[in-house]
Amino acid sequence: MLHDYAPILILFLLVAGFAVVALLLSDLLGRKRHSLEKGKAYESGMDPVGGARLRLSIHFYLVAVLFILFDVELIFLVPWAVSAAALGSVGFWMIAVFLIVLVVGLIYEWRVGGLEWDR
Amino acid sequence: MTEIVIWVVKVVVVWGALLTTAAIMSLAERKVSAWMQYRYGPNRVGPFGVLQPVADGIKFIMKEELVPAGANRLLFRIAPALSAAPAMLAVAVIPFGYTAVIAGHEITLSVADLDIGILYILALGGLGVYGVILGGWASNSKYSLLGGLRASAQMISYELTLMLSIMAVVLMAGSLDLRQIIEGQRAFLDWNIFYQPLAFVLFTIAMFAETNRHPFDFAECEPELVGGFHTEYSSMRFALFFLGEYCAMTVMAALNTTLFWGGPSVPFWPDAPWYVGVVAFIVKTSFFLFLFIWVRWTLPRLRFDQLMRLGWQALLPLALANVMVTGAVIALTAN
Amino acid sequence: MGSLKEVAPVTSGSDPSSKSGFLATSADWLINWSRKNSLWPMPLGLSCCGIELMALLGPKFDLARFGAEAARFTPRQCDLMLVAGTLTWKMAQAARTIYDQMPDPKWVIAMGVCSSTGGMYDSYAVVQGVDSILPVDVYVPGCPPRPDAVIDAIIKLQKKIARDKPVRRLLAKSAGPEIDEGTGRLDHQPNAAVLHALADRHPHDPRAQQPIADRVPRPTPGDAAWFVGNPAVGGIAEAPARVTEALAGLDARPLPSNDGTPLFGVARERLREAFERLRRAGFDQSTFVTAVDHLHVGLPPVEPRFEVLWQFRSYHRDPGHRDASQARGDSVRLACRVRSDDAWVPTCCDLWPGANFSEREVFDMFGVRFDGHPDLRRLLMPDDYGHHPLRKDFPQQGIEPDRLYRQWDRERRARWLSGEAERLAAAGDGADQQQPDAQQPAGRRVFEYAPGAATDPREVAASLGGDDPLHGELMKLNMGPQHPATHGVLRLVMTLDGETMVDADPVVGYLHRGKEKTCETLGWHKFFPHTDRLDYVQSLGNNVGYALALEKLAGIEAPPRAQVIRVLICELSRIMAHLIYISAASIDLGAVTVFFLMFKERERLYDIMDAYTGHRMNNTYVRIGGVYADIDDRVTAAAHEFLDTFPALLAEVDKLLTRNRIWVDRNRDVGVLTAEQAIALSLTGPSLRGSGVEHDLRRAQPYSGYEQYDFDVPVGSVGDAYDRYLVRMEEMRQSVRICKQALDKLEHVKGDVLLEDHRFVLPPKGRVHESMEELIYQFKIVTDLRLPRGQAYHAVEAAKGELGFYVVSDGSSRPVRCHIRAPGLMNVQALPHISRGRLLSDMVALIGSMDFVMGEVDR
Repeated sequence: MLHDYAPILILFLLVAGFAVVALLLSDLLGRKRHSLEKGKAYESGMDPVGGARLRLSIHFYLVAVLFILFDVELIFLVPWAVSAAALGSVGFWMIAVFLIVLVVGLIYEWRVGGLEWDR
Repeated sequence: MTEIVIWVVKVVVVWGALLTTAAIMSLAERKVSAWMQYRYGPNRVGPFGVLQPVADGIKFIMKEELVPAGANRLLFRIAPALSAAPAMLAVAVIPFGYTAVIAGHEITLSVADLDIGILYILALGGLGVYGVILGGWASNSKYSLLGGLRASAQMISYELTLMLSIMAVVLMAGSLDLRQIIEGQRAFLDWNIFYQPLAFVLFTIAMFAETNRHPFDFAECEPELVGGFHTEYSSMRFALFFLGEYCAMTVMAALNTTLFWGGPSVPFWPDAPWYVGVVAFIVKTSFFLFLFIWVRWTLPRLRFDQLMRLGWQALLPLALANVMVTGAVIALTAN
Repeated sequence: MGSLKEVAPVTSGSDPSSKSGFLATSADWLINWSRKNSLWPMPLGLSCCGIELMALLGPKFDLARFGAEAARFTPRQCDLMLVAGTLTWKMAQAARTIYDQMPDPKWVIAMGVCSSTGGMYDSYAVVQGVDSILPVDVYVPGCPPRPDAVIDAIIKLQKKIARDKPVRRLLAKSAGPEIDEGTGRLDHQPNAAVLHALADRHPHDPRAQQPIADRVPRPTPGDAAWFVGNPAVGGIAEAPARVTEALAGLDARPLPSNDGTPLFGVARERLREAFERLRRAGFDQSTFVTAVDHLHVGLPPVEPRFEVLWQFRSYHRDPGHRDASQARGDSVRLACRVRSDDAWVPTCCDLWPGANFSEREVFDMFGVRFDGHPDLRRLLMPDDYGHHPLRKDFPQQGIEPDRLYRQWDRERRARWLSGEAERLAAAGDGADQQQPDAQQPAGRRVFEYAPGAATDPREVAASLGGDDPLHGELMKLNMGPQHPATHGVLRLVMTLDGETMVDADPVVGYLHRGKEKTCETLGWHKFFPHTDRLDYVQSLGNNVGYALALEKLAGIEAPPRAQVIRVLICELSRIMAHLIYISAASIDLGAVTVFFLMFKERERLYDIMDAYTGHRMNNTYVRIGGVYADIDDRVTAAAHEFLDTFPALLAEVDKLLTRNRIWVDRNRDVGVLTAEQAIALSLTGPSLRGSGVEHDLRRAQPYSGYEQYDFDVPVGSVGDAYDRYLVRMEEMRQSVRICKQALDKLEHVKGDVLLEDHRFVLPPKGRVHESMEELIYQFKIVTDLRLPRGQAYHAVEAAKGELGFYVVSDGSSRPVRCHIRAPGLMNVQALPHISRGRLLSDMVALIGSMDFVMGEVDR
């Protein structure tokens, strides 16, 4: 079983090595001349007005929560998808009920405007 | 021992091919766009400018490394690697051919044959967004922050569509193993595209969104956010983001080929030798890579709310319906 | 890295033939090769040169061949800063900051004479060569340079890079001198020698720079409070009944104007009532607000010194007034004189929101305050500038023009020396520290047209749920002055709630080059080249507008053939301008290929212009009393060919954009302006017609014989960005129609293209070379052109809208005033009104759809 993953381990080592080398290479080779302006965050050539660490609109979290909801439910779909033929109609109807609940939730979310980005 | 050698060779060849493809893509992007726009594109270094990616690469290595003041240094530094690594790892399970017999060794043409190959790819695909979000947040720049936020909202929204459209194919094959999925499509008429055209369309759209490609390139979105999440990145770290994007595109194109277009299957030539299969795989994948470029230089960009609306209100319900119908047909006709 | 360390002693040694020396040389070669072939540019497109920079990326010149087309707008990823255009002192800080933010190694090309030396802009606002603030590697002359010249500069730069020894520097970097060996320049000290030279040129004593008094003593108005125009030309224009009724009882004194617009002098105490009555009488648009300083340096002071002028237009057609003077009846001008020690007038921007920016401009330039103005800040100059440039006692070259920049630079260096950079960098891992929020000026209120709507950003935020804890903090974001979507150097200070725009405050003036002041210094004739560089994408159209204003003042008219040529070049210019609009709007919304299609077509127009005038843009080919030279068959043939094939391109654009679902979705219902709002915001041209107002100066007040041409005036129905796009597309088709008619007319309208009038009109160049008298006339007119005493306003329908020139002459060779009524400024002014509550992405579409060129906005 783990035998299957051995090549992936080799690939992982290769990729990790590459990433480390790539990240360090220009650190080592690139010229370094720091200055106050160079370190300043870019904002179209002006001094930044206020910081970039802000409390964000709830919208972003809403999308994330919705995603987690659907993602978890999709994970339940996977075992059924693999064995749909074997589970037959009983399996299908069970997953159908499950999906319908999910869809009802989506429709509700849609109706209350949770899917509208620009309010 | 031989086994280890074969592993290493496969890993090096596949990974090398992936990096080469990414480099070629960075040039192809410029050349193809030039041809579409009555221009030549880079043509001063090497024949037809083929050495342009090399010149760009060396320049990036020799460029100054910058960490903006107020940035979270650790996250800022590792974000590019976090963005590039998942795409490079995901390529491991893509079967680029059937079985080759070389010097008496029977070699399956993929780095690793996992029975849960699809889960592996989805897991890594989910990780890919971290590099973008963390890079955008760690920069302490507003453009970067907005780019990172957009990327996160967009990628998680379209991941659902992506998973559901793959699920339809899994239903067809009854397996999460990509090799089984291509084995099921050996004959031309068994290609999933003929049975799952809707899933293919959904997958292709989600593929653009997942790789942050035009017309869904909101994470960078030059006219609005200047550079988006990579606004503050210079030198090799920026190049790594670039590389990661092209690697992700290549993996997605290969996955599209594998899921819907029979992978290495050659139409009307079921007994094709293994190397013809590999060529067929490359040709099909190249088409989707070309599609990425073609779309980028043709269409305008959507607006962010339009993207979210498309994802949640059009693609997701369609994908759910598609899975239901496919499941119904398979489950109810099984007995 | 290890192998590089090994070569260290040898590279500093003297044996180049050894193996290590060879290695270092090879590494040098490789690094230089990669750098010179991968020069990613930071296009600092400031003004006219920016357009040629775009052409350089376009199909004909294709900078991509050198691997240098990957323009990045974030300085972090660039190698080459292309300073294209005029750098003003207001912009200098931004330019220097961006240069500083580029990672090493970096190079700079100064494209055009403006960035190389200040060029023709020897004024108080312009940096006399970017090398006074940052090190330059290659200078490119030309105004603007042809793209080939920039390619030449890039090849020169490549050669320079090839001479570098990067390995040696790499090994020496631990020593860390702040000197860049490759260019031998000091990095953290902006060229001290040049700054010193500048200080010499702009001595602190303003008297040293005062203009020399004119040889002809001007008549001093004394207490005859009004500037009296020339009764011989025009005289007192008859005012329509509704104007006289509105102004009845206000002691409004009719004054002569030379352009047929009724002009009334009103005392300050009565102004407010005059505004209100005119507004009620149907004058719904403020055309311009400006002022004239009647001081004359060298003569006794004049009081009241400032004359403030307003012009209003009515789009309400008075049913009882449909006569031949309909056009005249549309406009009325008011004047009011105020003393310099009591320089204020009441505001009118609550009645005409479009006057907001104009009033700020008058305040900025003359120091006349507007009582009741909601947000009276400087418009063009920096907030703490301290002078009023258009006052007559302010010198053309300014008083310490670089003061603010040098102050900023000193502080910057002091902070650097105090080790703040290290502290900031070290504080980085704290990550959550916040920079103090720069407060908005106290009492600032955003002016909103829609009555009853929330005006305060906080109120808008609250109406959007901003104070709701579920919503995020408001984010302040600078968009511009260096930003890919702001078409040059517009700056928008945006307040965002997530991605929703709560407020957008346009800050203009980053390309303020002091044109109006320059006109007063140079004289009427020598100002022509400056008009090209207003809306530099339609140079000849601007020439025509200026020439017509001067001709109106002089009371002459160009000969018929010249008028046909003017119509032809105006319309070709309009096509050029709209092509830039389409390309900019499409690149903003991501349809990059359309940009290249447009430039391919634009190159053909450049070729026609080149064949006719000898230059691609900024042609300066119109003169008082005609055009410089006749058009020949070669040009007309090329124009015919272009006009025959151009509609095919438009059809292609229709396919790519007009019927493209994404394009339609991005533009439809975005930035909707009703006809009433568009008029109130002083919009003109396609932006106004997009809102359904059928008003085109070519129809309403025909000039150059436009009444003889057959064309349609397209109007929109909704007033959104898509309508404005459609209007411009259709205008190009109509322009093709007009051009074809003009070409037909050229077949049979023969004759001179310059008037025979030795008072005002240059003799044809051929005769100048042959005859002494003509040479003298030429000399007299170029150096000492005297227009009759008087004032005139003439507006043409430019691509962006009503481009007007308000010229005042006292009969001497020195212009008293030349005010340029820029349609683009009004388009910029409308941005906050149409963007509030929309998404950040919409701003990009809106900037595209309002279509402005900063050269004209800032002047």
